[in-house]
Amino acid sequence: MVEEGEIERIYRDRYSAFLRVAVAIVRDEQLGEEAVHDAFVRALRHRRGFSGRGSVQGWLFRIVVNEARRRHAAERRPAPRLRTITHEQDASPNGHRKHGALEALVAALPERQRLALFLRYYADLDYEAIAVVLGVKPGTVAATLHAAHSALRRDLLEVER
Amino acid sequence: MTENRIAELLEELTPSYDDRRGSWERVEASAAGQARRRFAPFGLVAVAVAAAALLVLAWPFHAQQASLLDRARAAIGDGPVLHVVLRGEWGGTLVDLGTGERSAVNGDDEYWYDTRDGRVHSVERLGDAVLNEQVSRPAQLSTELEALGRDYKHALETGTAHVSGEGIVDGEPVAWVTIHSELLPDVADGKDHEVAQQVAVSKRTFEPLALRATRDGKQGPDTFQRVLGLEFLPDGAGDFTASPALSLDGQGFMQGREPMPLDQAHETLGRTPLWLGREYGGLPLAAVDRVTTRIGRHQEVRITGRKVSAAKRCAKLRGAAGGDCFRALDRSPIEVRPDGVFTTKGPMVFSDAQTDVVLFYGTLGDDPTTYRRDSIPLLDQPHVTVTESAQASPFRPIVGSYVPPAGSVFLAANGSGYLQVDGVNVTIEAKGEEAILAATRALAPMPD
Repeated sequence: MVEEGEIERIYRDRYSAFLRVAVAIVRDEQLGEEAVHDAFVRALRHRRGFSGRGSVQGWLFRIVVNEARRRHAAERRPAPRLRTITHEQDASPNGHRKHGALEALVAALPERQRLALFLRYYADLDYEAIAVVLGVKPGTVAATLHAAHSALRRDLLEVER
Repeated sequence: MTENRIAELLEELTPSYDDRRGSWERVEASAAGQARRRFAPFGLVAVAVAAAALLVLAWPFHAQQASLLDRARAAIGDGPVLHVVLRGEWGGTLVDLGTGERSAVNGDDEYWYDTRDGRVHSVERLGDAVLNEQVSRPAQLSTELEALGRDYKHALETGTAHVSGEGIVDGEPVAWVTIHSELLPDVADGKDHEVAQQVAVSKRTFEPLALRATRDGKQGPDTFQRVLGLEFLPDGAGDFTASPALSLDGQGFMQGREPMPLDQAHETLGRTPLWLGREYGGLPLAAVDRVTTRIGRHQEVRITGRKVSAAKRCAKLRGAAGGDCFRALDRSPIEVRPDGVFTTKGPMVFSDAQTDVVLFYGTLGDDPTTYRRDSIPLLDQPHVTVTESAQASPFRPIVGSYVPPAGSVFLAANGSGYLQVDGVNVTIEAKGEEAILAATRALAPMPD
């Protein structure tokens, strides 16, 4: 079990990271906010369910990621397609910037690679913590990030060519 | 392109939100059930009456919008005692030898699992027959109980469950919900594979309908089980009594096999054996064996003194701590009888021997371990094996002590046929159902 005070501390310290990861997954700011909110409500209600394996922060990120994935699936937003790539960088009305080429390439990555990137770059989690969130071994996180980098390098070069 | 460049691009893709702080107070209020679940578009504070009216009006809408996972959670109840009935794929088919009519005989497992003290009451049935029943506090939960008793509810509550796909179970549309997954290495190919535990949730009733394990998204062999019913009962509910006579807990058996002359078959079995003649379908009666089985049972030994005091202290602990405490007391499991007496398992005591007659029709080969010529039945060549016993041993594969109705044969998933004729329990092994049915119909009393 984890104490409520511990969950509150992590929420206050890392809210912006939770929100950023959630928005990256759902690609909508309000949905991201709702995902973080609902995830922490769940965590608070079921904090006795924390097994003690891994960090509390990792457990909370896992719940946020799952809540965001659930909302994203429910919204049924089609992923941007490569053939519609543009280089517009203006902000959309919901505050989530459209960045055509990169967004499409990231969306085209396998889900685990995409989540590993978000958790690494937006939440600054180390491999151990990302492993807890994704339910994999730390070594697998390294391999997953490496594959994501390689894919982005290759595809971005192709787009820019 | 460097990692730094990728980092810069990702920075541009999603805003940083460094200035956002969230609202912990709203999280707390929602968790306590004092706030609406969804965000209000404008932070309105309504008076109590208006809020109540809004809630009433909004409720049906939210009920429709509630996700499949929320409804799945609501469908299984809240108590700490799991009661579940599972149907595996280990049953078989009953064939009426007179009419040829076929009917399914299902293999079911019923469990009561108290998640607080770790007690499990399990009943294993084939059709209506109980093959094994026991109450225990297992050190390691079975995969099914871990999945349905702990992981399923926990994953739904914490949001770690997610829908992985759709399907049909017994004509009912379902969503396959992954409740646990991990990457495990496979030495066969040197790669990691995603192994997941999934529950099929009815899209109509939101109740769990099936359980399976997958590897890289594909269903694993022998992992599919139908969930015939699942509920979480209140504290103190559930059936945790079992008939000792039906329990295989603490039982074991010793078995020996030796050749014997055919003319001893009557005496060995204690009644008239059945056979297929000196030759059947071109296969000679190549071997006649006697199989002697002794069934043993651990004796229940009462414990007293300091061990009882320690056990009582463990009994007061709840949850996993209680189970760990009991297991630390002794190498043998300690049990508390309903009358409050503490017992443990003593030495195994073996019963009188039970003898079976085995008739092998087919070809014998050399035994590579002893160099005895023509002594080993060659089961990879055409053959029929007829095993007969006066008692239906609880240790028979698949069927245990199950006895099919007179005039019928039970075709089990392991490719064997089981029947009872004039008090003789017969097992027939041959290649394919037709071969088993033909041999069954050809059985005749062995002349004196």
